[in-house]
Amino acid sequence: MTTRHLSIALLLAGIIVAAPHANPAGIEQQTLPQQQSDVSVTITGTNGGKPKLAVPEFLVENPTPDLQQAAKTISAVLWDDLDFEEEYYMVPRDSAARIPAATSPETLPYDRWSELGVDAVLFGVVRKAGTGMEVEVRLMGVRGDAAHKQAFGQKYGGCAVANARFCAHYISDDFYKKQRNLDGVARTRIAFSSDRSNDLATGRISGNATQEIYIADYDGANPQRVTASRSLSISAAWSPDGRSLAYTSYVSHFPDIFVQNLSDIRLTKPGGGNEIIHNQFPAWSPDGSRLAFSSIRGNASNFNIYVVNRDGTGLRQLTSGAGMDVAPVWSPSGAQIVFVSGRSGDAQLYLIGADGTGLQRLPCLEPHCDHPSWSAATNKVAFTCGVPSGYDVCLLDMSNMSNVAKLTDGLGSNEQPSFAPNGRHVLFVTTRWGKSQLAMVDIRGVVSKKRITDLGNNKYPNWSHSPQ
Amino acid sequence: MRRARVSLFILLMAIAGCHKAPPVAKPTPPPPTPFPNPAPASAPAAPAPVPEPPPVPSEPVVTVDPLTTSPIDDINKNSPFKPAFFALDSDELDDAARAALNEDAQVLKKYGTWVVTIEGHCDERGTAEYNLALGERRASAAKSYLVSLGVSTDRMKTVSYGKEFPFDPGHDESAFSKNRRAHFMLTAK
Repeated sequence: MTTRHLSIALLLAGIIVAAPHANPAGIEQQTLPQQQSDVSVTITGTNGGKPKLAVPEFLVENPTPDLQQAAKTISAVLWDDLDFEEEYYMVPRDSAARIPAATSPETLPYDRWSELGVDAVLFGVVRKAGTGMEVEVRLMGVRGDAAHKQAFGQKYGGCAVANARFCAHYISDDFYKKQRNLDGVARTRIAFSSDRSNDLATGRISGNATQEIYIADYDGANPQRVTASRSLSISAAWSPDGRSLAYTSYVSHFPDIFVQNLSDIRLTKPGGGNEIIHNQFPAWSPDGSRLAFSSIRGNASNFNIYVVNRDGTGLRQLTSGAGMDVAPVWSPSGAQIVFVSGRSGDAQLYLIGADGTGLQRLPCLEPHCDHPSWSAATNKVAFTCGVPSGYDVCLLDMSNMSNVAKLTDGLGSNEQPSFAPNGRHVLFVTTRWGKSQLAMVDIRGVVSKKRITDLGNNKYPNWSHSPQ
Repeated sequence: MRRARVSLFILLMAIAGCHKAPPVAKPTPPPPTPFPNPAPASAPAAPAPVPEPPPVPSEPVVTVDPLTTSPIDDINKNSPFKPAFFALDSDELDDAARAALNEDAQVLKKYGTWVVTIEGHCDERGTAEYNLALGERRASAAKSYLVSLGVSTDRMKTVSYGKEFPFDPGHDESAFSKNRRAHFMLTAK
């Protein structure tokens, strides 16, 4: 490929992403005063179980069609976001819709809600404010000590009408933080590879579809394509600040690592790949200053783990010797790296210091252990485990290395896990519905049937860090 | 435009190449007998053979090997290279694989300037990461063998596509066996 062609390919390989950043509209919030004199009200569930929460459709002041549509979206998405973390039993929408709507928190038909066994109702109002919207939410207790009292009240200004989903995500994260002291993930995003464009990869035979990098909201909404490599672009990894993606691309007819800023078209290649230097599986250090990756160089016969500064300087080789070393990820402190190696036969997990010392094998307790993801929140490593006839997602507790649990249920093949930043869910690839699709499972292993993708084959998922 | 002219050139050379023997002059037919005289009862005498004109000295015909003139993409679509196939999970060359690579070595020796990329491919079983590594081992195994046959290492690059670019999209052993291969792609002449 001539230099000129390569430059064009690199230019095309990065698409400027018009994705909403963590707080694009500058949502501002203020606490709404509680109506009663009591300082704090706590919503509890019956017999210590999860509180039963209703989120009916929000009231719209001075409704216009777009405002009404935005309000419907906000309450629906907020319902889904609140349901996701499984801290509440959410009242089904059709049951809630049968209760007459109220025009104020005071006039809520508490007796009707009480009949449903509801513990609290999230009362919401949407009104136009300037060029955007203002959303008020109040959490009202229905029974017991909290009956008719406000447990939570916030007003959110600066929500964009065109971005009602983000407004709901913002509210959900804020609500969870204040009510349950829980860092929600509603504003996070996912990256993945997909062949949904059905483009033929350049220079390949028919049927060899291109895989490109996509990003989407954590719930799978708003998918956007990021690369146009006309080849394989895989193993995307979000930078900790959420502004860049590192990924492996075969756009130059060999695998190399690209770091792409999402807000401009700038692409860098810190691994310095060429026809005899192949780089793949980039992983960001927790502070975003370095990348670990797998590389085969010159006349070497094996892939080894390397670390390099984000700007391409300071290249250091961490592993050597027999066996292919691939798929590195960093420990939460950035002092160690877990990777996959075939040095003792089939793929197993190994731990090494970021300075190259202290190599040890991890007891993953499965014949094949692959694609680790290390959660800073829980200090657990999720990984692909099992046998080719049907892999599963397993969990290794790094604080107690005899503890290995299986998260998935053997339906189809389940692989390539990526932890949510709060460690409560794992995003993974499953073939249980036919093609490769992304799904999420909670840390207890209850498959939430949260299917995230529909089109084409989708793989190599990566969950962003929480917005900063 | 240049591409069309090159294609036309190749076409003409191909046609010229089809005719290996020089053109042969055919005997000219005798002039017709004037009609009024009916033919005699006896069979007419065979016309006197027309002496053959002296043979035209043949133009020297150059036999052109299309592989030296075809574009790389065309060569790859109808490749002179044979893939080496592998058993499940293996990067070992069996007799059939070595036989294929022996022929590939001959091609590379015949066209001494050619540079190839040997791609390692896998069937769909096993994880994506495992297969990217296995593909690399298969490509390397093929390359090492060719080096041992005297092909210069500089002329062969390797790359692994794992299971991402199968040659047969099927999900049975017939398809799997076609996908477990070291595949040759010409990249420079």
